[in-house]
Amino acid sequence: MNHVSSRTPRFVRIGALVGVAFLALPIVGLLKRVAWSTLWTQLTDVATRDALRISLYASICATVLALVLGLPLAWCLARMQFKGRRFVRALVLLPMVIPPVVGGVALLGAYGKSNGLLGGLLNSLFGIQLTYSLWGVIVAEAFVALPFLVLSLEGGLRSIDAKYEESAAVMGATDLTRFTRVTLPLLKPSLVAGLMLAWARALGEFGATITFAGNIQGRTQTAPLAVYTMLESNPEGAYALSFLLVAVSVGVLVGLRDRWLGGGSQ
Amino acid sequence: MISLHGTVEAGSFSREFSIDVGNEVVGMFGANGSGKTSVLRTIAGLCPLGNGELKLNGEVVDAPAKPVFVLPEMRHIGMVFQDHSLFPFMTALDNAAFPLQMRGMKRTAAQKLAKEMLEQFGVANVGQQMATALSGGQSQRVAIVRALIGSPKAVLLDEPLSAIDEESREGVRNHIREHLIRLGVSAIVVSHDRTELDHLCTRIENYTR
Amino acid sequence: MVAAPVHAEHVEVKKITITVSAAASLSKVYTELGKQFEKANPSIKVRFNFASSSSLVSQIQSGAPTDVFAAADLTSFNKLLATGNVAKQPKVFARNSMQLVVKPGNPLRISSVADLQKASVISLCAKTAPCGVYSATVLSGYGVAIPESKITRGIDAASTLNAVSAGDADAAIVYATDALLAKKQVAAIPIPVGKNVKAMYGIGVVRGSKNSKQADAFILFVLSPAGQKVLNTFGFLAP
Repeated sequence: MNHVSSRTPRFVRIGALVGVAFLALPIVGLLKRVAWSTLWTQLTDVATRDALRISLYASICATVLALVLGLPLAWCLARMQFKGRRFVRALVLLPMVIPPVVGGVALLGAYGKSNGLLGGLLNSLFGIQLTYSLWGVIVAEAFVALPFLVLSLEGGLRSIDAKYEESAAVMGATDLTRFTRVTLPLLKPSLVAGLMLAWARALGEFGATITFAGNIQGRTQTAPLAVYTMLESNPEGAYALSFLLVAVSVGVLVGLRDRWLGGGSQ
Repeated sequence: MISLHGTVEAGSFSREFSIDVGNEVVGMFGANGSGKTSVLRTIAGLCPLGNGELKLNGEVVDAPAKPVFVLPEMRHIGMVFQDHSLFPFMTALDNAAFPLQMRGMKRTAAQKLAKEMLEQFGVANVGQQMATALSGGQSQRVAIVRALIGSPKAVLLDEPLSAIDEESREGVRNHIREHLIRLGVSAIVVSHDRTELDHLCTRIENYTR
Repeated sequence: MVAAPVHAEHVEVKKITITVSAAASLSKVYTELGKQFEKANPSIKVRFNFASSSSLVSQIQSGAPTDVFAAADLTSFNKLLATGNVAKQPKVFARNSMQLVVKPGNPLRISSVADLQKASVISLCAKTAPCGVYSATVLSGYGVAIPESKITRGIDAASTLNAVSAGDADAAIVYATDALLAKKQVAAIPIPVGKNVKAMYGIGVVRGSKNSKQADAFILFVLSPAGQKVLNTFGFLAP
């Protein structure tokens, strides 16, 4: 035990307590507003059930999409030397930095049926319309979740000691086998942490979803959108659903525990 | 047959080497830093030659001028690394069986053979333990098994006995020698321990500086 | 001769700021009204808070500090009267009606609300927002029932229209005033008076306002001929 570094002066302790209060108070306030007696009725209401179903399905698909797109990106960023690296890295971080609504507007610019770069083509050639569809929700959520996954995977890939992959190669493991039998197992902590963060981000997305996929109950109205819509028409339902979303988030964070600090050390 | 004539490069290190190994066990003796590990890595295909030519059993596997470079996974070499590099997420048994699986053997058959060989080297009892739970000496024995098990066409050993305790050293050395004779291929042993090389090798080269 | 230095008297004019929470459909016209009001009353500064009337009702009931409330209907004020957030009935300061908007060029050839079955996605305001209630009235007046799976609900009147102007919605039922503002981005199809609604806009002082004098002054300005003129230019009708 490092006795010098673990000394915690009083002002630091007080500061930390204030920080805890800052974060805990809103959660406590939310819990106070929940009408526990009607919680179950509210959560099983048609609109709420629809929203939960859509949110669950879309967020999982979005996470998978983010993985499919993000793993190659993370690999190249971690292990390849190429021109324009800084630009690609900035691009990957962009969805994290721009306001989600702006992300939604950008998605319209790319995939909007009416005047999107690709959207018109997709519609006229394949009859595909992403806006106002569940796939639109998935695309919007994947867009905002991707950076989290790439960052986590890139960090993980960088931290893997080359010696394991080297000895695997000497023992006859070809590229794909090396990746599945050696790299992936070593990558597991970063992969799991990245997937959970990406999923949580996708689940909570609002601005990009509502702008790109709209707010259609039963089709594109995700849980966050439902909470916002219910806030004026059915506040009790809004608080019930909010409580559920908080509970799910707490579950994710507990599941991640110390892993998201990127190391697996306690 | 190993034939290396050229410049071995690793980072800022660069040095000319001229090595010919027939059906024998050659020892490379010298302190760290003279490039012995880099030579082994070059023969294994983990770093390419700067210039010159590397032949394994008559086949050119590395010749920058032509250019020719055969990937390490195609060279069929058995190697004991200085720090063992056992896969931390596998058991000792699975680690030892890995080279066999890479050559196409099914898991159960590979594990059977691996168990037998681990027994010979006195580490069958730790087979089910995760590689991270093994002691230095145990890891090194598993690493030796892993290097010899796949019927490699050449064997490279980098300080293979450094972690083995004094009393077991002779036994392990004899087993290695037995296996090398049985395999009948070229082998290079790198060590800073002269006695070790005397007992293991048919010829010793000095590499100092 | 030495001129005596002249000391200018600096009188600090203390500016009072009032907060006006107004329906989203009022954002452009009220911003203009605010500018003119500030010009005529240099000691008063007006700060606006635009959102759907129903959101604003929740905000005010939660204690959001506001001096003036302007809603797109009178029901909002009834709610606030019931909870004691306003003391008296509002003054009606303008009238609005609904209009159907579609993509420029009307690609689906929608001629009226009756044709809305042709559209694949229709943008409407939230069910409980005044704009949403009005649209529902218009639709039932035509006997048109649109399935919820074809309706995207905007969070306020402005974003409801944006779904057509910037997004991929085929049609929207919005305020005539919003359609007017967006006339370059959408094509407007009028809804005949017989099938249309009269949206009555109300304005009043919120209880607990610390600047009720200035709040009253703003309300008076909105109701004055000058204020009414501005409302008129933006397409609002006289009450």
